[in-house]
Amino acid sequence: MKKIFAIILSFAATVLLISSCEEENCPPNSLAYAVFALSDQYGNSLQFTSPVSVIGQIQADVTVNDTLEDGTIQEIIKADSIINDTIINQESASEYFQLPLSYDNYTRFIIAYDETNFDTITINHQNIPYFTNLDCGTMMFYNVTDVTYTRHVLDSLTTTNPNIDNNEKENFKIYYTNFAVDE
Amino acid sequence: MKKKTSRFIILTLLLTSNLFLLSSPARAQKKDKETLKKEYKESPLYQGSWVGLEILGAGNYLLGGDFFSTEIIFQSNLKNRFLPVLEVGYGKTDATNNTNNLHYKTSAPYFRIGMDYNIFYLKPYLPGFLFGGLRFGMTSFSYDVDGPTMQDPNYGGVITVPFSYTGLKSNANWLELVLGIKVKIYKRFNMGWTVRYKLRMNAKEHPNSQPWYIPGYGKNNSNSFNLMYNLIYDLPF
Repeated sequence: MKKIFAIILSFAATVLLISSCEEENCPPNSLAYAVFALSDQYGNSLQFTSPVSVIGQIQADVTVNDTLEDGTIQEIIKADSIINDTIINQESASEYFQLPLSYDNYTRFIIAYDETNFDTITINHQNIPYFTNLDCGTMMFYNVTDVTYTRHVLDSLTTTNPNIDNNEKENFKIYYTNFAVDE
Repeated sequence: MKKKTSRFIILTLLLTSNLFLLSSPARAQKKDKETLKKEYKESPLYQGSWVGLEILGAGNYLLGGDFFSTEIIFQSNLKNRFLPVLEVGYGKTDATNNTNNLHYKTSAPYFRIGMDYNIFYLKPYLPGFLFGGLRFGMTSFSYDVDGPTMQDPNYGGVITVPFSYTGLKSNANWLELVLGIKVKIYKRFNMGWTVRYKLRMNAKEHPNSQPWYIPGYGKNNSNSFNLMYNLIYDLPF
């Protein structure tokens, strides 16, 4: 009888120790990226042979400080300013792009293959601020509502998964034919 | 530090309660097995009921924990072997993470229904007994979650989005495997504790969040261990 209770007490103490060591399991990646897989017309993955840049672009009201003649600083709102963010700078040898969407309701990506060849992809998206637990902070997820693109170099683009969250999964597939790419 | 202190107090309480059982002078004379079996067969089906009050959840909260919970336990004794039980409780939290200023608030009642099995049912002369059991728990609640304005980490950080959601309705249900003891202290007064392994079955999420704390279940993990400490009174009927 005493033995049984001793076992139970040991078990209880173990449980206390386990519960006191409880930690939150925060996801290792708290940012949500749109993943673009590069593909040839047959669906095989491919890489660019020459370096490629990707510029993210949004349009937003920007507050700037203007120094007046009397030395005072005045805040001026520049409406609908174009904001560019170079996300990938002259990189190659990758079979996919991971690009961050903006907190606006659309994000435009300009793929610069070289100095004269560009494609523009515009993604309209619904933003979903997300909370998992108190220790891990908030995250922004997205739901893609519409995609438009130019076809100067790329052949076509399909949306494979419109839900963009912190699980790194393919969201878009960009198809190329025979321009500056390696299979 | 507060948490460490509370753990120490809880452990002391547990040990103290069991010393009552180990050193109890009320241990009656042992009877042979056949006599005990005969007495068990002749014993009535209904052998009483008791009510209990869970105090560990409230104690933890008073010592600085984030969660408050307390519950009343109604349990009956059938043949000193099967112990159907109903647990009605109330859980709440109003916690803020000082590092990221995220705030979560909820409060709601919860219910559990289940059955315990007295492992020592053939030893009614003992001042207490060891039992195992199963519970099905459920709750329906709403929660608020808010935090600092979210700022776009890219594109110059010029776009910000507020983060505040109130009155998000959710519900959850879960299973609990229970192991515990009940010990007579004085006349109709008893103490007892249970160790519980909780297994979440369902917790409703929202597009913008998942509940962090579920009343009656605790943190919204897929499973967890939990300790409960009860003050129990045997009803006179």
